[in-house]
Amino acid sequence: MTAPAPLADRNIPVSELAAGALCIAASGTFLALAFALPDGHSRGDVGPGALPEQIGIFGLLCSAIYLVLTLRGAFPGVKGKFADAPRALASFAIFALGMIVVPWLGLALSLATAAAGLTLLFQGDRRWLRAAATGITLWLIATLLFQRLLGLPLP
Amino acid sequence: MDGILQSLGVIFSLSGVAVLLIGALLGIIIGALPGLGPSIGLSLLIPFTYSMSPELSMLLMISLYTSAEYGGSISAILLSTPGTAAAAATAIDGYAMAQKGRANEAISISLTASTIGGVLGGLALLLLAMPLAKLALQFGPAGYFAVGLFGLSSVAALSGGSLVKGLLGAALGLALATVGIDPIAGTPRFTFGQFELYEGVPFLAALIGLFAVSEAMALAEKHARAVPQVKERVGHVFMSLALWRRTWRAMISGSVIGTLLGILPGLGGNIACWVARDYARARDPEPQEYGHGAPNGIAAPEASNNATVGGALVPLLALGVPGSPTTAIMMGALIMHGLHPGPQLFTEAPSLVYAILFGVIIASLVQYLVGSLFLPVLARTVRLPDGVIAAGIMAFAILGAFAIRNLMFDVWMTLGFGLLGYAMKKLDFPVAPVILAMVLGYLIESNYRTALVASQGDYSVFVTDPISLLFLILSLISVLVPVRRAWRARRARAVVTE
Repeated sequence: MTAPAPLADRNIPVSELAAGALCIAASGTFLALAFALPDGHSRGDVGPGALPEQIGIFGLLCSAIYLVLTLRGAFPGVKGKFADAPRALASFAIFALGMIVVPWLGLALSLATAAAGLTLLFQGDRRWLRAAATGITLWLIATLLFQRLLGLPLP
Repeated sequence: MDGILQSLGVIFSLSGVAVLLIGALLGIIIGALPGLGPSIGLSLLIPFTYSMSPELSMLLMISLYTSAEYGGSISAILLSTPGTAAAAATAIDGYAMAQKGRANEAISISLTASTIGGVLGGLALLLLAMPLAKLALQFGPAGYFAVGLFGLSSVAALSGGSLVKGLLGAALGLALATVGIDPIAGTPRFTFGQFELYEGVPFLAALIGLFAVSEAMALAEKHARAVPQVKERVGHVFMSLALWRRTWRAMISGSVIGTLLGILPGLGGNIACWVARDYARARDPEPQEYGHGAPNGIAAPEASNNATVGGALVPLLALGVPGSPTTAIMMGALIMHGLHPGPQLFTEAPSLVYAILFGVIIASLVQYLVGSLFLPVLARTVRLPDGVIAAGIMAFAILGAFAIRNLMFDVWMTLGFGLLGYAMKKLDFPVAPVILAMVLGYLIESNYRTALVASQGDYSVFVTDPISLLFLILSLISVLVPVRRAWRARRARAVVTE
C-alpha cells in the first residue's frame, strides 16, 4: 500500500465532504426508521424491516468509504465547477414559484409564465420576443394538447 | 402463431405506422439536440402513452429509442458536439469529414450504419429472447433475487466514474423502492402518513425529475453559448456503391459488438461505440485515416450504438431485468400498464412480446425512411437555443408529472428529484443505478423474502441454488473488477512517482 499524501497537500472539496456527511446522516436515519418496523408474521419471513435494515447498513458502509476516500483526496475538486450553479438554481426557483401560484393562475398559465421567465435568463438577440413566443407556445401545448386532446384535468 | 399475426396487425395498422413515424421523428430531433438522449426523450414521452395500448406505447418508445441513437450523430457530424454520449466516437471522423465538405456523405454513412445496426440487433433479440426466457422459467425465487442483484451491481459498478458513488446510488434507489406497502406482509413503510406514498415513490416522477428536470437545470448554466451555426447544407442520404464496399465490414462488426455489449447490464452505446471504432481501426488497411475523416470511423460506432437497442432488450424481455436506464424506463411503462416483463410475458401477452421483437427491426427501417426524407429539416433543429430547450423540457416534465395521477404532489416530487439529480450531476454521482434500483427493488425484495419463506428462514438457499450461486458470484466479480483496476492504476501511479 502507498502512503497517502500529507493532509495539507490534499485537494479535498467541501462539496464532496458535505455530500459524504449527508450520505452518512441519511443512511443512519433510514436505518433507525427500518429498525422501528415490525417483525415478520409468517414462519421464515424476515419481516418488512429486514431489507431496509440491510440497505441502511450497506449505505452507512458505502458512505463511510466515500468519506474516507474524500479525505484521502480521491475526488479532487474542479475549480469553478459550481460557478454557474446559481443560474441553474434560479431556473429551478422560477418553476417552483410557478407551481406555488398554480391555485391562482392555473397550471397552464403558470407554466407558460415560468417558461418565458426561464428563457429570459439566457443571453441573445430579441430575448423578450423569444420569451413571449416560448410562453405562448407552451400555453397552447398545455391547453390544446394536454387538456383538450389528452383530457388531462389541469388545475 | 396467433401472437405473431396479432403483433403484425398492430404494427402495420394505421395507428401502428403513425406511432412508428412520430417516434422516429421525435427520436431524431431529441438525439440531435446536444445533452438530450433516449432516456430523457422516453421519460418525457411516457405521459403520452398512458391512454395507448401496451403494444402501441412500446412501438412508440422503441421507435424513439432507436432513432435517438442515430440522431446523436447529426450534431456530432455537423457541430462536433455529440447529441448523445453514444455518438461521441462518431464526432471524431464525422466532423473531420464535414470540415472537408463531406457532411452529406458522413450523415449518409451514419444513417445506413445505424439502420443496419438496428436491424441486426433486432434479429439477435428475435433469436435470443425466447430461448433465454424458456431457460429463465426454471429460475426459483433465490435465482431471481440473485439475477436482480447482478443487474444492479453491474450497473452500479460499470455506469462510469467512482464505484462507491455508483453503489451509493444503488442504495438510494433500493431505499426509495422500499417506500410504500411492503410486498409480502402489507405493512406501510416510510410513508409518514402521506397517502400518496402508499403505492410507493412514483417511479415516473423520480425518472422525469432525475433525467429531464436536472438536464434542464444543467442547460440553464450555459448562458453564454452561442446559437450554433451550421455552414454545410445537407440533402440526400444515399451511399455510393464504392462507399458501401468500403464500409460494410465495419457495419457488421460494429453491429455484433453493439449487440453483445448491449446485452451485458451496465454497458451500452457509450462504450460500444469506442470498442467498435477501435476494432474497425485495428482491421482497417488504412488506419492512419482515422481521426481525419475515415468512413469506417463513422460506420462502426454508429452500427454499434444502434445494435445495443436490440441487445439491451434481451435481458428485459427474457429475465425481466433491465440493463440500462432506457430499458428501465420501458419496464416502468410496462408496469404502468399492469404488465411485468420477464419470461411469463411470453405466455401472458404474446402479441406484445412479438410487437417488441419485430418492432426493433421495423423501427430501424422507419428511422431510415424518416431520416432520409426529413434530413434537411431535422439538421436545422441543432440550432434551437438552449433557453427554449430548457423551458420546453421543464414544462413537459411538469405536465408529464401531473399526468401520472393528476396530483400536484407528483409535480413537487418531480421537482425534488430534479434538484437531487442536479446535485448528483455536479458531484459526479451516476443516476442510472438509482433508476435501476427503483425498478429492481420490488423484484429483489419479493424474491428474497419468498425464497426465505420457502426455505423456512434458511439463508443457505442462496448458495445451494446453482443459479443463485452463479449470479451472486457474477455480482461479486462485477464489483471487484473495478476495485482491482483502481488499485492497480494507483500502484502504477505510485511507481511512476517514485
